[in-house]
Amino acid sequence: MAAVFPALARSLARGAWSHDRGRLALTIIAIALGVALGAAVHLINHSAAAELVNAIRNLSGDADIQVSGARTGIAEDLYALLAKQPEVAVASPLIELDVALVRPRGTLRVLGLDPFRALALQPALLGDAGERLLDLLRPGNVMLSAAAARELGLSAGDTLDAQSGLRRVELNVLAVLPVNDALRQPLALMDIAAAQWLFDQLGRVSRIELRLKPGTDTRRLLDRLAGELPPGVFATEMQIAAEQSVALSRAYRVNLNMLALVALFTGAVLVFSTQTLSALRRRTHFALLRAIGLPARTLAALLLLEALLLGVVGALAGVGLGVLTAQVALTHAGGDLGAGYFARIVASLHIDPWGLGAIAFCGVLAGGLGGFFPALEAARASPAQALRAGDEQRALRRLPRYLPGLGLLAGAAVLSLLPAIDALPVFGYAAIACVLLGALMLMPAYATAALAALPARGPLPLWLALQQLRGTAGYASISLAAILASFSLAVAMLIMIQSFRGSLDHWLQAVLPADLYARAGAGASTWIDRERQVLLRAAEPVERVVFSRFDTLRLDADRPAITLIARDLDPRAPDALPLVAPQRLPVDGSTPIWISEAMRDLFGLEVGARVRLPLAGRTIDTTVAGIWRDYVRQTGAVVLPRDVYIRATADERANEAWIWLKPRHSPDDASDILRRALHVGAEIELREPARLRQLSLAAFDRTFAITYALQVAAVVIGLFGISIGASAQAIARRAEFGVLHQIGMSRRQLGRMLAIEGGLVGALGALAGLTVGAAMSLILIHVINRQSFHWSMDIDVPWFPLVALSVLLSACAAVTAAVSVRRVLEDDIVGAVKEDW
Amino acid sequence: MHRRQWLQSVLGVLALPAHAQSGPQPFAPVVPGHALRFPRDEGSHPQFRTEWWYVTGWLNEHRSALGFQVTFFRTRPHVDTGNPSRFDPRDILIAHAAVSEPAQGRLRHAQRVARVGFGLVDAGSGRMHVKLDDWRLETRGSAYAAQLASDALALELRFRPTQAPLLHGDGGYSRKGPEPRSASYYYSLPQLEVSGRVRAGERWIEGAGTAWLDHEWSSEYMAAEALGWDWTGINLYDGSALMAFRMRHRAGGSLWAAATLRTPDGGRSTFEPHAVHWAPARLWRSPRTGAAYPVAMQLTLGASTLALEPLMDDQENDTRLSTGAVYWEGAVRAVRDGRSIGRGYLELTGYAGALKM
Amino acid sequence: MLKVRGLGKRVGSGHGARVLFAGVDLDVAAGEFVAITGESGSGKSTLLNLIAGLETADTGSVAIAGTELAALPDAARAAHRRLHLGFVFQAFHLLPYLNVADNVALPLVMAGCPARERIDRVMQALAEVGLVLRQAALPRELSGGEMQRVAIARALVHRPKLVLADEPTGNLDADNAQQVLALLRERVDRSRAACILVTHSASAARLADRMLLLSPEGLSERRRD
Repeated sequence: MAAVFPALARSLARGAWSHDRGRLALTIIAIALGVALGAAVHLINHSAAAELVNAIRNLSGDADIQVSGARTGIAEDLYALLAKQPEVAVASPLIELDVALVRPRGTLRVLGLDPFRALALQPALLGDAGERLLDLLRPGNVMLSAAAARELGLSAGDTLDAQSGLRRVELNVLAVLPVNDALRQPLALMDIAAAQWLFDQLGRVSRIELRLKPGTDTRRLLDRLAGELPPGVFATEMQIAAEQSVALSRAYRVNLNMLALVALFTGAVLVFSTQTLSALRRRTHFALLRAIGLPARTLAALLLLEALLLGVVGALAGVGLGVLTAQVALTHAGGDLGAGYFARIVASLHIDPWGLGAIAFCGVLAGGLGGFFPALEAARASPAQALRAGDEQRALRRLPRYLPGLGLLAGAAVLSLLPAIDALPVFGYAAIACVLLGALMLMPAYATAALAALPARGPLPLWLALQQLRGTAGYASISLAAILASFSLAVAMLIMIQSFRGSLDHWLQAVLPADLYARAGAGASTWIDRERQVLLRAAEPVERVVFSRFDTLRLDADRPAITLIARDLDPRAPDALPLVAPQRLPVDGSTPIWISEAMRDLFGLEVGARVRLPLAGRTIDTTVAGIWRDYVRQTGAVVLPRDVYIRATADERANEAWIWLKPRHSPDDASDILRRALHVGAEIELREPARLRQLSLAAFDRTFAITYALQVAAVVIGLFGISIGASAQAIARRAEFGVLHQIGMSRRQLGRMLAIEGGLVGALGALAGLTVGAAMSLILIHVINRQSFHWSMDIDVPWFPLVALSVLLSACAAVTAAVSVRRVLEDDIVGAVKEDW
Repeated sequence: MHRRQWLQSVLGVLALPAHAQSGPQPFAPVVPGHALRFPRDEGSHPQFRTEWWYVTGWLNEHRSALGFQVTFFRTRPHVDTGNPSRFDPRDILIAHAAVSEPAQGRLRHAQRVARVGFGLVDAGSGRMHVKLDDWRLETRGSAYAAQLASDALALELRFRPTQAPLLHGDGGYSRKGPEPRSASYYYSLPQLEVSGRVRAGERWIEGAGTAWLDHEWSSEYMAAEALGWDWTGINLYDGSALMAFRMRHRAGGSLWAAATLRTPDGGRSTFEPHAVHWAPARLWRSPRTGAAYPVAMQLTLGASTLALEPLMDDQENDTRLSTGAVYWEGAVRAVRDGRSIGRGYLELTGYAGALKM
Repeated sequence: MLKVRGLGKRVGSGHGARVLFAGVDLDVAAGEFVAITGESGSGKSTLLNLIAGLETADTGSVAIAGTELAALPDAARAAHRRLHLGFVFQAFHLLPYLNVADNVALPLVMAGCPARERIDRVMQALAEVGLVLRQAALPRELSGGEMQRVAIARALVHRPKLVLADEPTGNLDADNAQQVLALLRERVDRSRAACILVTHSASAARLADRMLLLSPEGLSERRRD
């Protein structure tokens, strides 16, 4: 048997190839597209994330531990304390600031370092520019990474103006650093003393990196330091700290990968429909082989092999295409896919063989899975039966029925109740997969029931079309499956995105209550100082001002920092906090705080919970008074009364001001008056809420642009499926068309009948897709988004796009069907009558 | 390689004349007639631009003899900027150590640079107390101690003075060139009894011998037309101490020279430039840098002549080639009439290109 | 009823082209039952297709009930077929997804016959072929003989003037073939339709009023023996 296996495989494949060349090619293309999408999205994200981690790792060279705290930094005395620890070989203090630039406009990450210490950790840091090391010590001198020089259009000898507070600081570009692994990102290096002085950071450093002496027990040292470091300051292993920098984007990256997998899954459905039809067409061929002695198992193996082969070819092509796409995207568009996680990362392609392998494996799996059921069916068929005419329908009758589908749907309901694993909504994804699979399995039953419910009346083509569909519900359900797989996900995403956008819009209205917003630049190096706060309060057009100060806090070593918002507020009625439930102020006189949903989820806090907030090296006791919805800070945010913050930290700076104007002033003229009163120009951004809303929504749309692209791909693959199904059927039904033609149906009537069939299937598919998509959108909104990003949203159904898309889909299906049979009709359908069927 | 490079760039400050820097003369000038006082002047003089404490010596005898060198430089990279930051790099400390072991055939060395501050890096005033993290050179009671460790080597040495400080030039005012302002304050502690241990790689070597400490500070060390210098400090077996140097002219020959000789009875003689004559006796070419060093010298002071012969040829401080600031610093024997009469160190700079940035 | 003059057809093209037949003349009167025999590949089925207007001839003309087919557009030819012609095929060609009654009803549906009359006529047609009890069965549930009986009912239900039967017994065993042929003859005679039976079976041909032999030179009368 083994010897004839290859020959048989060839013979079967030849049979398939000669009949279904176009379809096989489309199947391979569909798998390749799915795999390419997955590979490209994965590679781009992976490259950007790897770049970020490597940037941090390379910059700190062979540092073992990083000590850090709030964004505003930690006390510089910790440097001496840490450097003196007997286990520490090198301690390198760093200031890291995102500095707003006035000339040229932009932002620049400035790294203030002690070059002697930093070079001890990373000798390659300065490259040849090390000769200018002494000049680097001078205040005002910076060295730019090649990426920064390119981005800002600067070269050695140029100057630039940065903003510190609301002052301008002129910086000289001493040298453009050679490109090396440590300095691939846009970055300016300056001396730590200069950075402290020029950017008002005296007494503080952003972090301290430590290299330990050989043989040090890192774990023990970390434990000891945990006891010695002040509250809010944590020592973390460097690798973990570097990985935390990309943890924020992980949920987003996983979500995109899942979407890409969905496109791939659509490809699998396509393989299924192609292989099913192809197997049906070769039924007599198989029966003959079986009759002359080929074991059923061998036949099934051959067919499965064929499907796997499609998967392998598609996967290989897809990986190649994906790598190419990623390379092009990274070169021309950078590593950010729109969500802004890697907005300033300059990334080059990092091939991740395991990830790529997994995606390619999914492609092969898609082929195998799609081919499995048809293979099983072909093997099960009795050769004697198969040799008889009209047996195809008997075969399709055996497609899965109610129970497994319903079971999967029930499973999805259970899965969607389970919590996240490692902050990833693993069960949520599984639930979506179950809904989709379950729905697919229910398609034959749905097709039968829905077609039976339609009234059998009307003109001949309609009547015949309906009769045909009823009689061949099995065929119809295959087409339905292809439509469902692609359309339901598009529907789910549309509902989710619309809900999100609507909720975001409401939220923006709630959190932007004032008439005018003042913000001091975009970077952390800018703020509104106390004097200008006084000036602003006293300015003529101003009715009321609320100032906010932003910082980050770390509550423990393992979780990323949360955002601290110190805001002027009346605890009984805080402005612009979109609370998810009524607040409850603490009765014991402790400080009230308002936490975001993300913080509630991540730290398991509820209203009334006590929280010790580390501020300026000490802790203050607070109580959660309320929980608010926050669509911005995914790692959590806490609002604290600003007077409490100032008492604890003596930090009177503000980053943002909400300004309510007196009734007779318009925002426009008030802006001019305020600029004059504060003696500032572009250093302070003054914006109206409408503009801020517009900017936020534009950013939102950018975030989802890539999602739309993935959806379009899935729908296109789905339409492929419809056309494949239609043309396969058309070919299979040539003789039937011939008979109908002979007994008096015109070609036009035949065409109309097929268009009606296609349109009906499209409409039924759209209906199923809408229903299943709605169910999946609920999982997306209530499970996946909640668990990934910790934000809740209100359901908002985009009726018009959904209806329009459904109509479009049905029309497409009708047209596709009509078009794909045209060729057949133009052929010798009369001759086909001679063929036995 | 890079680390050496930046160290070299810091060392290069020594070669920069102060008046080449913009702005007013910000550093204290070296003037004649200033009396040195001890132990106060063993400490740091931060008002001057550069300063170093330089210990060289021999441990053990005959075949197990080895040389060592420990240096702490202090340098002010630029004029006070008024930056109130505690990280302000007012002073930078550079430490360098090397061990010369004939069996090894070349130097083992280690180096560090850091800014002064936070109690981690400091050059104390009032007494000798220099530290760069856990590397130190300091007064301990009536003696001094050096302690430093790296992967390549470690030194744990105590130095006991047996003689009074030896002031060079005019009571410690040591001219380095024809211009009077090109000068330093300079004294030595010769004939130090040294004991302790040295680690070369993984191997600890106990030992005792004699050592020599130089302490020199200035604001303008090298004349503009100087290419480099030759220097030696020898502890003679009879208890005498000899220091001699010359500044070599860019155009060839000597720009300036001086020497100090003190006999055990305290008799001190100084030599004027014309009385100090250096003659290369043998050249050694470095296979790494290609530079040729006169590793054996004929030194003539007035009427007497002695030969300096290296413990081993390759004692090149192999720093980066392109900066041109590679130098030779090695243990030598003083030989007169074919007989060894003392041991010390020879320093040869500016042979692999001018000593400048 | 049927008037065929000088009908010729070539197959293939270029050097491989050959004349299938030429100069075929044929007159079939109403109610006449004509058998056409010929070698395999002599073009019997093509001749039927030409008569049905499904293919176009290279030369000559076909007129059914005075209407010249070649002059009509496709839609009109289709209408002509559904009014005047009935078909019986070797492979039965019942639509697999329609039951027996619906298959038989197909020509009536196409002709726009009202539902009530349609049901009556379908029932009558099924009664005439003895398959009333199987009216709800699907084609795959029938035996070969039964399927061809349904096909005969379908070919005659709309009372065509001419029935074209292409090897209707080719897929049947001898007993069934005999029964089906007898049934066909009887039904055609009863509905006073003409019938052209294409067959290679001499025994089948014997059933006809006239036997014709198709050769490249045309149709020639065959002696009954």
